[in-house]
This record gives sequence, structure tokens and C-alpha cells, in this order.
Amino acid sequence: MVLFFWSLILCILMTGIILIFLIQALRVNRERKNRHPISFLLPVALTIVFLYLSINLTIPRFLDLVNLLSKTYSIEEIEVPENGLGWNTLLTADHRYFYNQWEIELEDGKKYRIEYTPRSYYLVRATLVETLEVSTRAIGISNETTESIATEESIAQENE
Amino acid sequence: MVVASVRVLNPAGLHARLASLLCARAKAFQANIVIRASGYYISARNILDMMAANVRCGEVIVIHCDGQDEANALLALCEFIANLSE
Repeated sequence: MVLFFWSLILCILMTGIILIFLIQALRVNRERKNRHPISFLLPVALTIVFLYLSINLTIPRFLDLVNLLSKTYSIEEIEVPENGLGWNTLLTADHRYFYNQWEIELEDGKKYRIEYTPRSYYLVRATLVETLEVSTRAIGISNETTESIATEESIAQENE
Repeated sequence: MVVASVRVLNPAGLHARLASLLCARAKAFQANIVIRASGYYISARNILDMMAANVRCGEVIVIHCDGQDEANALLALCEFIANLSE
């Protein structure tokens, strides 16, 4: 959570600074006070950077604020690949997830049920699947239940 | 963490209106509530995920509750699902 908010603040600051530079560059162009002829193109470059930062970093984090406040996260079961753990990042075949390694502990090769923000992929919670299975068996969930789940999974795998 | 499995006996399954009622109940608790249905994990607070899971009559769903009031949350949700009516 802390990591998410820091990154959100950082992204807003970066986007804001680029926007200020862009407005200044446009003002200089309008007043024709460019020192170098090539600086006429500066707004174009700044617009590209601004759009890239906004679309890829700031907007997804900003939209995920709603999910954080309402505690509605996307949930998935993943297996941590070998060498998939980096500095605060988890790289799987599908996505790159961000997580706070002082808050969430992940180990290579283990299966986790992860809860993450749907657009910016920040891990909020990770539960070891073994723990879930143990607690499921402990309360004596009938074999019928686990069988029905297993059957659904096998059907899904067959369909894939 | 507490876990329970419930069979959905409502003939129409867990349709939109019931899903919204279930979400409203889940939101009333502090505990983190995750439902395993149709082979997928879904958040009980997310109505769109609940509807997308397309839980049908006779299907068994597993409810995982984790947090302060997990026992109460589990009991309330199990009771709600067991007593569903169209």
C-alpha cells in the first residue's frame, strides 16, 4: 500500500513537472523567443513524454485508487517462476507485478493466491496456496466439493 | 482464516440481484472475503466478478474469510447463500 501511494505521488509529480515544461515551451514558441531553431520541436517531444507517462503510469495508478478504497482487487493464482523475483517486482509470463518486499514475502517455485490492483499490478496480499488447501481440508470440506472444483479445472485445461 | 463450502440451491443460480445482495453483505464486514467458484478466485466485494463467475444452481462454492470478524462474515454469507430464493 505504502509503495503504491509513493509511486502514485511520484508519477503525479513527474507528470505535473512535464506539463509545466510543456506549457512553458508552448509559451516560448508562441512569443517566438526560441534561442535555438530546434527548440521549436521541444513541445512535440514533451507531449510524447507526457502522454507516455500519463497513459502507462499515472492514469492506471489513479484509477486503481478506487479499487484500493473499495478493497475490490483482482485475484489470481500464480506460481512464482525461477528467477522471477526482482527488486520489489515479480515477473510472470503474463505480467510484471510490483510489491513491497518488507510487507509481502514470496519464494521461488511456490504457488500463491495474489490480490492485486487491476491496472497497475500492485500486490496487496499474497497467500500461500498450501495454507488455503490445509485450511480447506481442516474444516472437512466434502470430497464432492474438491472433486467438483478439480473437475472444473480439468475441463478448463482441456478446453485450453 | 476460516473456510466453508456452500452449495447454491437457487434454481436461477447466483444472478445479478443476488450477487449485488451478497456483495452488500460482504462489504458490511471488515474481513477480506474471497470466493472460489467455477475454478476461479473472486472477491466477494466485487459485483462484476461475482456475476462473471456465473455460479449456477447446484454448484459448490468455497468461501475464504480472513480478518477481524471472519467467523461472523463466514456465518452470514453461508446463511445467505444457503437460504437464497429467486
